[in-house]
Amino acid sequence: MKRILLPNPVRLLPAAIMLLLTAALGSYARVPQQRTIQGRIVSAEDNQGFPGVNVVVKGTTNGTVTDVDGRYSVEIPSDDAILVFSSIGYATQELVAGKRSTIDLALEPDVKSLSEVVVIGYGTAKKSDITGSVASVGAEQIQAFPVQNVTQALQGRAAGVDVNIGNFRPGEAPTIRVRGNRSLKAGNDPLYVLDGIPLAQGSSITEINPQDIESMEILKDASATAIYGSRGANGVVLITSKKGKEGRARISYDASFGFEKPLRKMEMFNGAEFAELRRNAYRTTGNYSTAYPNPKDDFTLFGTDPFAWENIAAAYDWVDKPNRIAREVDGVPVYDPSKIPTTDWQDMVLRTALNQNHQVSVSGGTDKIHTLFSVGYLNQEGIQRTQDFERYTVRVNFDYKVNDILTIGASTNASFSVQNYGADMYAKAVGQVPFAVPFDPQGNYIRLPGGDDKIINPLRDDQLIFNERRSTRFLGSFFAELNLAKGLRYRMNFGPDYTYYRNGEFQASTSSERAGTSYGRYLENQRFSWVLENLLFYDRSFGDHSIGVTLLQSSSAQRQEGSDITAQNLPYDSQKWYALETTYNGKVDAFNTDYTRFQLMSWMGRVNYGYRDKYLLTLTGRYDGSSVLAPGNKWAFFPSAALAWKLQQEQFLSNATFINELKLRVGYGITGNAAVSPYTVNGTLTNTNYVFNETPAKGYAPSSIPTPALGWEKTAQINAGIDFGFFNDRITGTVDAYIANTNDLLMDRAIPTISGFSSVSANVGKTRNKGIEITISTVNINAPSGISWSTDLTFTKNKEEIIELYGAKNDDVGNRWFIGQPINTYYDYKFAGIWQSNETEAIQRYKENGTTIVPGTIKIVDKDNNYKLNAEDYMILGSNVPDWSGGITNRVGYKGFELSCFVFIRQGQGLYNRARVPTLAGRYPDRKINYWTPDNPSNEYPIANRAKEFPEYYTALYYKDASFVKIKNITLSYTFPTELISPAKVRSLNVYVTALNPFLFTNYDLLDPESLGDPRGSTSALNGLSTKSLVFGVRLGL
Amino acid sequence: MKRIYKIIWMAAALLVSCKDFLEEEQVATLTYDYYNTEQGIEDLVKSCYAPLRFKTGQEQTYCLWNFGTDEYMQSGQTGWKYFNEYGSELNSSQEYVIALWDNNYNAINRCNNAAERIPEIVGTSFLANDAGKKTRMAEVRFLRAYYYFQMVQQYGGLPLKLKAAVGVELEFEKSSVPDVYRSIISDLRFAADALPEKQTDYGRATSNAARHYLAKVYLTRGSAVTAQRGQQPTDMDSAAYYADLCINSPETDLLPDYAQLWDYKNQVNKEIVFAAQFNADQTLLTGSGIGYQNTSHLYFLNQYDNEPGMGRVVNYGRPYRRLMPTDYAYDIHDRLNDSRLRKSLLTVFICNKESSIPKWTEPELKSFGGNLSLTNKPKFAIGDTALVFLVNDKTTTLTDRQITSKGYTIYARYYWLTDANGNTTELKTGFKIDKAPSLWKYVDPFRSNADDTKGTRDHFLARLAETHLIAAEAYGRKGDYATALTRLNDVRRRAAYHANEAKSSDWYRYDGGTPGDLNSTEPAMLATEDYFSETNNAFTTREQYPAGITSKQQRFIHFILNERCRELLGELHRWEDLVRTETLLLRTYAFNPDVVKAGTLADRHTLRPIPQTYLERVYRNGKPLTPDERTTEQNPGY
Repeated sequence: MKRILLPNPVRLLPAAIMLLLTAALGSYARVPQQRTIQGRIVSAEDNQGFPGVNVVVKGTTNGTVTDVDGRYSVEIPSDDAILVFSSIGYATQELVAGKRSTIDLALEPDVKSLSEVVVIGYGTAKKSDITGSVASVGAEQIQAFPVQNVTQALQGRAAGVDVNIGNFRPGEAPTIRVRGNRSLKAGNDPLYVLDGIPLAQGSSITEINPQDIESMEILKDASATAIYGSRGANGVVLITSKKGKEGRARISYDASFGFEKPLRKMEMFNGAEFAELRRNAYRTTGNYSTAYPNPKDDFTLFGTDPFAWENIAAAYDWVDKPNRIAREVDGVPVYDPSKIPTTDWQDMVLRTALNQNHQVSVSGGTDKIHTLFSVGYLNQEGIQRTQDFERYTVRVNFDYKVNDILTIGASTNASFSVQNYGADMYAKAVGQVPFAVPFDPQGNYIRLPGGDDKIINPLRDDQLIFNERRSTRFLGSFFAELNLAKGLRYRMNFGPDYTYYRNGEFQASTSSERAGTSYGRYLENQRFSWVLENLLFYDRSFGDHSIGVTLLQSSSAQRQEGSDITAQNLPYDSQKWYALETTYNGKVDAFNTDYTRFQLMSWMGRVNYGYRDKYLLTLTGRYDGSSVLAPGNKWAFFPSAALAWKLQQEQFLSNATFINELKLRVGYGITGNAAVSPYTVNGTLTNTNYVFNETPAKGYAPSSIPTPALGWEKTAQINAGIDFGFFNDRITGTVDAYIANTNDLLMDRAIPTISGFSSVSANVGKTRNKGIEITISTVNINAPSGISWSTDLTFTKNKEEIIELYGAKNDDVGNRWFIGQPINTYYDYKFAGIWQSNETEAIQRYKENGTTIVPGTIKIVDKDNNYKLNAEDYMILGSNVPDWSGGITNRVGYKGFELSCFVFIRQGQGLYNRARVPTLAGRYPDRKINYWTPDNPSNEYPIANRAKEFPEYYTALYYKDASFVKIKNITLSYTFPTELISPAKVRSLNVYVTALNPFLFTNYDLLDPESLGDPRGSTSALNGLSTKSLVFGVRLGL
Repeated sequence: MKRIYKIIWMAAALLVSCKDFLEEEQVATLTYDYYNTEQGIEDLVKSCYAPLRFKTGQEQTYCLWNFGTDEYMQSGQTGWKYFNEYGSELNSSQEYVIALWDNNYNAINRCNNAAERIPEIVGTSFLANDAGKKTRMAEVRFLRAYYYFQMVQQYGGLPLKLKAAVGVELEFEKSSVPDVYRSIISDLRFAADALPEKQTDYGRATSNAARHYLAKVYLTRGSAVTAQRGQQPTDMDSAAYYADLCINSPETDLLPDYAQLWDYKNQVNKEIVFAAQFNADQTLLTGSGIGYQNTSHLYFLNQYDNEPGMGRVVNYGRPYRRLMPTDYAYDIHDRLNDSRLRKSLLTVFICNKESSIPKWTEPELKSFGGNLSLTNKPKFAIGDTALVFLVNDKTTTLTDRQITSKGYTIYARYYWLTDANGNTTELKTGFKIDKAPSLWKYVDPFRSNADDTKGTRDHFLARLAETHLIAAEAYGRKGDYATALTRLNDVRRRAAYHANEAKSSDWYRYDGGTPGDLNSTEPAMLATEDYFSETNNAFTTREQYPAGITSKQQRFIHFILNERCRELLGELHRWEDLVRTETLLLRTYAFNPDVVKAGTLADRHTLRPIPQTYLERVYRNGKPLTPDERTTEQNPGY
């Protein structure tokens, strides 16, 4: 409904300017035919006077509000004036004044919001008739702020849909989870359906231009997804692309330009602090002779690289520098750490990245043909040098009504993208010694700044390391539809999806990755999948009864093949990966080709029944067969049922006029998952390498246990929901609660390796997801003065737990699966502080039991209190599953201006973070942390010790709470008034500026928790450093 | 309308579901069905060899087999030093403790599959007749025994799985150590009888390999005194018998010169009884899992490449500097007569980096009275000696001035500091962490570049000199010292400097030799019973018997351990040897200063912990183990 309200403020400001101009010029201008129009507005529902209706002369600020009887009186400038009558929840009407002096009007309730059509599986439905749990995100929300891919636009927009950015590297796609993780083995990615065609398994939607999208619907509960049977288990995301509309051709041009910077960087020790850390690490082992810095030991520690040494030496007051004699006071060398310079390595590999995005689309149509053509271009630089992404997209959509019987159509999407995946420069930069310098005073590159042969200067890698990923994809959806008889339609869909992917990698011999020989890799992969569907629809109404039947037969297949070649020691760098055969080694290092194919076949039926538009019933059944499962287990049946009751249609609520919509829904359904890798059930073999007589002796060893009993993983879900709209739809929303029980969970189960295998694919047990999802939209202010304020709120709480394993309630410690806990549960030593010097008694007792600890080392919880620390002291340390997440969008509008702000929240999630866990060995630089020394009895981080590559029990430092609140965007936009632009034949013009991810609030002490949380939370992805950006954009319609 | 019917008709045709549509077609994936073919069985047998590469696959190379012993201690890199010091990170979750278990049980499952399928196969070529089948069967049983033997020495009792895995198996019981040895011996005896002395495919197991390991298994079982390995009174007879069979085979012989063994161009010879096979084909050095390459070349090297005039090159290797010899390892050698230490260590490095050649300074030249006109001239040139690790002893007269005067870098084990007048003041030790002689036995110039970790050389798992030492030990343990010394002296004779053999200048400078002396030292190398006599003498002093080792029998065993150190230094047998002879604590505390300093080595460390992954996943009576049951199942003390 905000769509209805928006035009008002939009027009007002420029109109005011014009009015002022008019007034100023008034004395010279001809006096206009100003006069008054009056009238009475009634509500069409009860014919009663309608108070509070806005009456505005279009294009001016001139307007009024109806009184308690619905009467109004307004000045109009001329007969041409257009009067606009509007009120929330009612259809806005525009009338030309003409010669009339009185205009009475009955305002009709705006049923548009209820009759809004949403896409569901295999068809569309009126929003008010939906029986399942469906979240809908429209084009306006998708394009509310600039995003590079479709999934980003979903974050926080739809309750129950958890979008995890994970990696901010340009061209990477976030992960989506609909109502939590259900399964590990079988994959948790939802099914994407583009214009009716289910996309290939495991395919991403990064190739689709967000600006081409009309709407996205997320089917969440089983009654909605069961129609996709085996593929709907993790939810379904239906994507509908924009289509041409009947009427004059419309041309639109959208463009944005952005500047991107890191949101959060790693805070490292500076030069002097790290030097002291190294000294402390050596002091711990007795290899540094004094409690204060001394030049002799310092030279041993820092003298390998003469330029780094100069920086350390700057802290001393030299008497004889070559012989390293410093001025001393009371036998202590004078040392001023503030004189030690620090190199900001991070800044050297980061940049302010520029982005630009352009899209031109042309659409239009006649009563027979509708068509849309669009081209898009995205160029995104990464904030890390060497990372960038470029994408070209072309879309052609058309449908052609051949005659009354036959309609054909297609929607096609072609894309080409180049991702420069980049060198790992940031991760290397934070690993550089802060007091060392990258170049000597003459500007020569120093390969080992700081003198350690494992710390290689990465600053030339942007010229020496290439990792280029080219991807070409063609997606199509072609259909032919026949109107066979009244209400009876037959439709055939065919959806091919072809992707060609090539990854070229090259590392020059002098790059930081290599030492002396270059490396090249050429990987290519092509995938073709197709879906062929035959559908029969029958939709009729008989009196109070309406019925809709959908029957489907579908076959699909997916085939992929690929090859991969690597070689070393290439003669010259410019060839990159294009001439691997020239290797001086005479042979490539490795090569392989591969092939897989699998098929799926389905039968589906659905019946929708409605009685008096009050009671709605949906029944579906789908029968799926999959080639990847063993004979006998290939087929499974997935039924579902859902019931909805439109209370607002009931007589007993007819007096409750504040209710616009009140619908109760309940649904039950079963979905399945057979996402096991092809060929696994028979037990596969793997190729082994050996040599006899100096010639290859390749063999074949078993690589998996045959699992003939492997069957479908099934989830039974019950969902209850309310859809509501109150007070003329000023408050609308949806509340859903659900319980999903998964049986025969398909997992890679870890087993004792005695039988030769560490894991086996198995149907292992039961899990449960239960949760609540709330979506509320409110119109807080919609004043005639033009001020409007609306709020959208989403809230998701999902609890994921394991109910049963192998038919019993026993924990499976070996797999880290625990009854009552989520599947991804952290299980490790629990951090309990640092051992302090005065805890001698406990330390002694541990020593007697063979566990050696000393003051300054990490203290972990001794779970069994037996003064012995071993694997039996592992504890459950939480999970990366958030307790709840949500989003709040606020929009404030005033006369063409709109300010919106979107806040995203995830609370109660843990993070398993291996990125830069403190080593404190004094060799590799560490994050700035408060570590223990005898003089600084920290309880946060342990003692520095050069003899330990990692502090003992350091894994206890991995687990941190990573709750956060993030302002995802603040956008200010201005829509030019029609009056101002229509003379230039411009239909619409909007400019905006957006701050993306400007603020982050979290107690998490490392990077942005969003840039680290992959589904298993185990990433160390420093290369996906998160960003904030400022984007300027324009949207032009002709 | 006609057209419409046509379309409906076509659609109906598409509707027809053919049953075949959902059939899975095997194209580029093989399943177990392949093992129903002869080629499949041959490929399965080949795959049984691949896990042999595990021993040198990663850092387990030295962690499990050479760290924490008397002969090697830790060098500059500290990642896995808890294996040397027996720190608490050496626990049931340690990755190599888990990896050895996983690797070997995976290998055993391959062997079990092969052992069950070979008799069934109807072949047309090698497996067409019983002889061929018997050979292959013997190979896989040999390998299965090898994998169990490797594990039982590390973990003690463990589940004995002798059948191929079918479905998901969760319930396993540990077998006792004696049962495991019985199974190993049964497999090896079959293999020793059935295998040919020579295989057409070099690298496959031979009867001599089986004999060597059978001798070693008997020796190991029979060495137990307090340990319970199911030792039998006849074990030493059996060990001696099979060792002698191997020694007397026409297919085996000792190489004449110890140095020839480490010539990387001489990887196949009669002394090599059994070796994990590698070659320089990069495509064969990859694979999933932990051990598909020979990384042994990395760990025993010390840091030469940051020394003046030196850069990292493929011929000198990539110095991971994980281990360096203990004093014991240097001192146990009679360097005057025994050539082995000098032939095992890499001590002289030739300048290969122009840019870092140092220049003479005036104070340096003045310090030893050098020619001042050399000031600012390079100390040496490409192709000259740039770096020397000098193995000498405390009686040396080498001074710091002499070291300076050489120009090239010298790390001397011992040298004297001098005062302004040139008088010696203090004896210093020059070897230290990162700067000690490297072992050159594994140096691998066939790698693709200096940093390449993927080693290409065969790793010798068993060589005939060790067979001799096994025989010697078995005879000696029986009290037959005469035969023991015969076997032993075959090895010691070869270890001597032979007539007309050129020696390095260090030999007469630091080892007590005389310049120009080309006489054989063989006579001086021949050991006698005096070497392990109960009465102390010059020989027993050099043999450094730990305190309390006084009886002849005990001394003999320690003498054998000394000889094994001299012959097999760094060859990844030492930890097993010390555990086998129940001398791990005694000798490691006596000779490994890191262990002395840490003070944590205890009785429990004679076994590795049972992997936590096993304890957590195994079932008993349909249920996973409780925490208490896991503690009981774990080796004591972990």
